[in-house]
Amino acid sequence: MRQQKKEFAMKTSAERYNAIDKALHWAMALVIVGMLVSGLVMGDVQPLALKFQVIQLHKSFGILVLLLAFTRVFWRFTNPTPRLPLGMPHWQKAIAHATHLALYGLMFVMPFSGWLMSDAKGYHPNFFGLPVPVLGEVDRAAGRLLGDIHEYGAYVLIGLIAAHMGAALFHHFIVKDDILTRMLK
Amino acid sequence: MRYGMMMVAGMLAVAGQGFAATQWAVDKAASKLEWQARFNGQVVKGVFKAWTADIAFDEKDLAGSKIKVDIQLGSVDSGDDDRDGTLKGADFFNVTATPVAVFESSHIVKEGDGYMADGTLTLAGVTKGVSLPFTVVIANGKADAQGKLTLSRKDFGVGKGQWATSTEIADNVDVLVHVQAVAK
Repeated sequence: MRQQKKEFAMKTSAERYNAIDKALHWAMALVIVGMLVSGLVMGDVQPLALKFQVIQLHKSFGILVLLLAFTRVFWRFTNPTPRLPLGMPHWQKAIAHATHLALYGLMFVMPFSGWLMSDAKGYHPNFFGLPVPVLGEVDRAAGRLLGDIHEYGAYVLIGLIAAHMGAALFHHFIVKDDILTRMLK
Repeated sequence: MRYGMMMVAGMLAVAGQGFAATQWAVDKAASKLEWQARFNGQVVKGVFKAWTADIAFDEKDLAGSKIKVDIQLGSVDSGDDDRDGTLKGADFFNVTATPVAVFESSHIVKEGDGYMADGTLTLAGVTKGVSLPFTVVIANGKADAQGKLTLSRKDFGVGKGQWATSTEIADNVDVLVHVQAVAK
């Protein structure tokens, strides 16, 4: 059965996630969690010098997330990924696809809104000291709007990550399928 | 006859030197008062939207020329709510206690292609001597002047507490003046 399924699905999906899929997933997971934590606390960091260092790092890692996101989408379109289990209810698959799509969306919306917000507020970012393009002019109204997008986007992302992790653990411990393990091994 | 001629000579002498230099009415819409600071190596700019200038200036009567500018510090606009709020606060301009900054010239001299207005600047409660170099083009009763003043924010105590060290905000801040005015 397993062999038949593999031959059938050879061109459009894979049995498991490949090494790059996994590396990108976990690397981005780590950086994104770091970004959310720093984003929540960095306004209150003391002393001032350390606070600005944390903010600079937050911006640099944010641009890194953006680069990884582009890499990941490119990799995703050029490499087959495993399908969701055959027996999974349709509504669960729909939620899974929607959640993943939203996560992909936010891995672009968050860094872009942060970058644009920085430019709009007159605090142009750099990439670990290296210059990056200026995406927008100083604009008070745009700065406010982008700041809201960036802040509320972060709250949505936290919720999605919680759902994503919860689902993975649900599949691993309750359903006992290979959803989590295929992203690990 | 002699007294008459002396009176005429006297009146001419008075007329020649008595009146102050030309008074100028600033065209606010065409003028700009801008500052440029450096934050973590990057230029951050802003303007003051509310200010008035009393300008008496005549290229041929520098001794009678005088410039006084009153700046409403609360009108600072650098395009960001947080930054403007901080600038108006107690650690920077302290608008509540010291809402107005004043530049007043004591004397104006010719300098190269332009002029130098020596005087004082009172900012955030501190008064220091400053010199504003400027150029001006006057034609048909209209004047177009540009000036640039580089000052030390620490001299005026702008940026207190943790902001007092220059690491994040450089000490030197440029003030760029562009005034268009019409002779009164």
